[in-house]
Amino acid sequence: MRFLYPIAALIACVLFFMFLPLFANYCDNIDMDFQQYKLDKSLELSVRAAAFNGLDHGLVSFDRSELKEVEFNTGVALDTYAQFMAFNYDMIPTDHNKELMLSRTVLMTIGARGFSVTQNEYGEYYVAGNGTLSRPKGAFYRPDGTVDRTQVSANTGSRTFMGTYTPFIIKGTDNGGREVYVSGSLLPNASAFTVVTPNAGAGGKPLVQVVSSLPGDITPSRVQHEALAQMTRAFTQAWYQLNNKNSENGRLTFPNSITNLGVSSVADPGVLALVDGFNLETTRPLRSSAFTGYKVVARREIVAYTETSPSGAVSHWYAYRDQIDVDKALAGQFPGIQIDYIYPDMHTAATVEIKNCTHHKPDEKCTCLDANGKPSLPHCHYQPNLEAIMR
Amino acid sequence: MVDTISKILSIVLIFLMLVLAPLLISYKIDDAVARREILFEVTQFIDKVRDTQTVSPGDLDQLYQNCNSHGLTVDVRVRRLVKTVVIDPYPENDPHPEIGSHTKEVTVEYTITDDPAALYNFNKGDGVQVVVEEIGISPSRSFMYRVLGADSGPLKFTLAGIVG
Repeated sequence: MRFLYPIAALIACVLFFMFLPLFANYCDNIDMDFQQYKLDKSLELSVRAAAFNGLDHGLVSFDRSELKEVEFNTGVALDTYAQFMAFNYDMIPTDHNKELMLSRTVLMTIGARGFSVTQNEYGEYYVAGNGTLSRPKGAFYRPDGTVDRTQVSANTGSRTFMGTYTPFIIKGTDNGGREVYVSGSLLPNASAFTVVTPNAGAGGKPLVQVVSSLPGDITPSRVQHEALAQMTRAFTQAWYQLNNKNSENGRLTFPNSITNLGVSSVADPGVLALVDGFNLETTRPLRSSAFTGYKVVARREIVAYTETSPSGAVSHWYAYRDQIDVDKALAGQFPGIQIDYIYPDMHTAATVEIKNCTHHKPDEKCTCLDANGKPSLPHCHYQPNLEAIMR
Repeated sequence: MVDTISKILSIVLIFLMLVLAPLLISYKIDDAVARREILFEVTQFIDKVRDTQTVSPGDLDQLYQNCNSHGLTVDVRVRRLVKTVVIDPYPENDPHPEIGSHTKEVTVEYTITDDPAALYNFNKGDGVQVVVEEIGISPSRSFMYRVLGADSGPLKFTLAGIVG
């Protein structure tokens, strides 16, 4: 029996040493998990900043109520992205650090009418702050009358339709059976398109027109389909160029989530970023992806109003703007209703103290009365009245 | 002799595998959760500042408290990244002089301010940066980190987001 003890101890030893690498791996995984989450968050915040600044300093001034014509300043977007990534990893955004961040990233800005992969074919990024980051704003037809699909359309009318982007140029035939090139839009509600008909203008030059609906056999769904295909192609190409450049990591691959869903399943303007081989703080390279965009949604504004009842009791309410016909109220068509102010949100409306509140006494705080003439809380602030309908 | 050694070895191994290993694993899980929760608190703070565009002393106190309520003692610093924009309407090196593009040159730079007074009012487009650093690491943890490698070391990370 005695010889069994050493054997048992030996087996235990083997088990112990087998578990050691497993444990080390486990520790490593836990650290990587944290760093992965950190990278996801950093990328999300940086891309958000890139989208914000890129929009704010767009080459074409943009109207927030009409986001369909939005364009990004790709230089600012890229530079802001790099700066924020540096800030997210506690670095000073020097040129070297920015390059470090960008060497692992492919960033694409997507406008309604075109897109721009912000790394060029030599694996470098465009100089930040330089407004013309992509191709010049020239005509996208050559002097001999043929159309060059790789160039950007000129300013064809009241405004520039495609700035520095690669536009979504779709080839088709118009109602007369002629070959046309249309700059499509990703947005379904776009209402202006540039149409170029080769050799149809004076002297055999291309005819450039701005039309309000898509001509001939070109449909919005076809535009969307081809636009997404163009974007995917450009993005994949940029990815492979980065792959060639990135000798440290050896090989870059698309993350599963992106290959399954398609790289460019986007229908609104935004900024898309893909990071791979990111190994600033980890032993193994990490990858992440983020997409951010801005969209206009109708905001439910809040109307603050003063109501004077026939008996003379004054009360202050707020309600959604769509509950009250504000034009009618301002014209005095609702007896006893006076519109005080329109607030952007409920929080502001509720915190603003009523000006010239008839029941307000500065030395005595709790004196505001509600509609029934009783003291109410909070005092001298507008009260919610979300059941009021005044039309 | 061999008998005794194997007995001692068995006891040591039993202690390591049945007592120390579960303790270590449980500690690692607690530590990982704490780290992630602190990161989450910071993300939430940045999202909040993004909406409110201001950091009050109350917000800062709340952030310190939240970050320190997960089992780790951390030092939290909040900085403002002041945005400066320079627009040159007629850049010297016009990239496409042949078509006279006159493209405006826009440069956006961020400068870090440590001044707490700067936090009261952010401009749209400014950034907010939060630096979290763990302090007061016990000698046992230090030993685990430096010698055994079972600990991830002091927690230190930075997150920065845009305001507006």
